Amino acid sequence: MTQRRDVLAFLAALASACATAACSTAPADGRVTIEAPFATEASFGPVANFLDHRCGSLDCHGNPARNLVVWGCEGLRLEPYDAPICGRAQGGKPTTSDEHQATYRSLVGLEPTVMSAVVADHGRDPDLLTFVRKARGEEAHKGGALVTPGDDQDVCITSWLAGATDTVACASAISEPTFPAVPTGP
Amino acid sequence: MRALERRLQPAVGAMVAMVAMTSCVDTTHDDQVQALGGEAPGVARGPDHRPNQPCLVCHGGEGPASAQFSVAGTVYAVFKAPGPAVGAQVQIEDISGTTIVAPTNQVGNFYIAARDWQPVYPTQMQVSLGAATEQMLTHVGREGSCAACHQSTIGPGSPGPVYAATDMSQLLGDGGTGP
Repeated sequence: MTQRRDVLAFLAALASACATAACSTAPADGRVTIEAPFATEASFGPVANFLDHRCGSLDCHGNPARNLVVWGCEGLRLEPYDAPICGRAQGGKPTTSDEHQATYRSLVGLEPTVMSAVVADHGRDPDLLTFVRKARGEEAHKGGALVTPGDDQDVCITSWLAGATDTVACASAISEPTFPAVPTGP
Repeated sequence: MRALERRLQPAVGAMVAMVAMTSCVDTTHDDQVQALGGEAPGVARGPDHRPNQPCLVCHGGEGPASAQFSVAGTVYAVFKAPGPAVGAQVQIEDISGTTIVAPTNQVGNFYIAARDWQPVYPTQMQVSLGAATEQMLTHVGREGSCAACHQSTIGPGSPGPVYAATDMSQLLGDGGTGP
């Protein structure tokens, strides 16, 4: 009989705890702080331009339906009156800093806590991030393996995660993908 | 017990059939097909139909078209002009270095049969017509339908239709002295 009373008391306490938890709300000023990689134009601009070129075509990550969305003049534009055309002569406009920032938010927002851990560790283990593993082809990726650890494309990304963007590597990475032959016309 | 089994058999059979049917229906694909609408009046199904629609929605292997393409699209002669590029050469090179050339027909359509070639993405493309050659400025990552990105109108997610020349003078190669 005593045992039954104990069980009932426990159940009542449990129900009370659940009810309290269900009714409680997060404090309005509640924040989760993460350590984010640098977002400045100097740090992320070259990375964003590389991502736009390599990953941001309209049929890949230049698509708002993707988890990672990349904005830029080679793909999806942020403003409704802009078109995916870079050259002013063709009626286009180069990628804007707002588009860089939109790409930044999309990228950093994918796995914020993992990103925080990678940045806090000065980018020593970028492979913790899904987008790095996908780019390297270490995880299922429709676009396949696009970068090789240590190549300019990879260094462009990992140097940014480490806090010191290698702008030379990013500039070089823009030339990828390299096609074996240059079309000479039919 | 056997009587109960017999009574349940039709219900179980119907349930199995329903599950099998729903698991085979791709509503997303069906919606995409429906969104293309019907055939244009006076145009029969075939190589001339549905210019500047995303060909592989129907011709990509999921039906309803039986002919399957790996790459297909429509080319217009001049930027922002409605005339098709008739007899243009569409050159596609994939990342493995294989290059293929497909001609456009009388409505500007071109297509490459899936059995003839499957590109290794990414690809790069160029179009030649008359004196003009236009190289696509970005590469293609995965999409076989030109019109999936090159939609009829220019906007934040579309550079507009594919064209062979920015203006008539480029097409004629006369530096602007043509008709």
